[in-house]
Amino acid sequence: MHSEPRRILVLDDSRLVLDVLRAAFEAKGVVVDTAQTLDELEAKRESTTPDVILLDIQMPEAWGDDVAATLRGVYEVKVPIVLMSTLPVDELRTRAASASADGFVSKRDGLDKVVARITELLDTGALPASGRTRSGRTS
Amino acid sequence: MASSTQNALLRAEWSDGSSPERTTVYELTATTAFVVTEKLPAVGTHVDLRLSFAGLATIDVRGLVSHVRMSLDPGAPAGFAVEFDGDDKTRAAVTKLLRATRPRPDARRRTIRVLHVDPSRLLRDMFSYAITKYFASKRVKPELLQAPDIHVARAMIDSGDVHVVQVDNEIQSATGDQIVKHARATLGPAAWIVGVGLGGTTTRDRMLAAGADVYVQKPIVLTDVLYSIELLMREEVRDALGAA
Repeated sequence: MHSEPRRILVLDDSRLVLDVLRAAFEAKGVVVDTAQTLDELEAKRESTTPDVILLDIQMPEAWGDDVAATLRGVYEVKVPIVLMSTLPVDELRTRAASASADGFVSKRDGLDKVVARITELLDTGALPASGRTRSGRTS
Repeated sequence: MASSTQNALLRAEWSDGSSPERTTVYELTATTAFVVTEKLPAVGTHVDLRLSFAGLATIDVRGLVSHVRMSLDPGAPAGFAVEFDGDDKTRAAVTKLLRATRPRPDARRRTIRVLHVDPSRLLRDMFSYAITKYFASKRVKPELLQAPDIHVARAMIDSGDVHVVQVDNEIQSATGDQIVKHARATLGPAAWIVGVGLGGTTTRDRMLAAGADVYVQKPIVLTDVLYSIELLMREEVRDALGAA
């Protein structure tokens, strides 16, 4: 049992994706903060303390892996950062590793799988092996 | 960092017989290139292309549209792939441009000043971090200036000591093309100016009309910009631009 509710911050330009993820995570008792733009991400990052940050890669303003690299390399974000996308898994893995993200989840597997894997990360501190980067600190 | 096409950002002017359009070309190889445009010609159409980098190494080539792509996701702009004609003249022209823009780790370089104008702190930090990482192992590095708004940008441009300007179109109390226009008028033709923005053709045309060398729709591949900056640092490029 967790004494405090687990919390996740999700960046995705699709309102629909954010709404679906919010509903699914909340059903599992996870508090969800969402951002549709980089400005919203920064505002939420300053006002909340997420346990995991989930970033869509194909954002209109910038690539999510560049965002992840900046969060890690400039702002020294310590919590797990996970990338998600519909990109091919090999590209997703490469981008996640290059950005020093902890792992990745493919939207191609369906959003229910995304939720299951992130929930596992929140519960156990580790993503399933297939979604970890070599540098992933959650492994 | 997002994956790179390992190309400089090339300016393109193309026509299929109708009025020419100025845009950007990616993924240049000896036989193909991808032209970014929302004006999609039919597959099989003959097109004429004028390609250049920073106004240098301009070439005129002809080719055939091999496929077209609609824009479905951010980062995958609409456009068409062109297969260059296989004649000697075209091959020589493309080789000339590739040779002028290919990586040359041994090239002598001079430091240049790069001004990044963007209202987003996260995007400014991202660019700064990308520059730091990209040039970490290189002996000569660019000097980065950053401006969050038009006032700071103008002051830096007015110093006259800026060689590359990257301007986001979404600037508070101004538009990117206003800054581009001021930069071009102040810094002259030797400055390399990149306009970036969320918008498509309309924003691109405004930026180019104001004097930008190229316009890149977000999300931009940072390494393509960094590679272009590195190219602009080469002594022979600085000399050719008359901007040592």
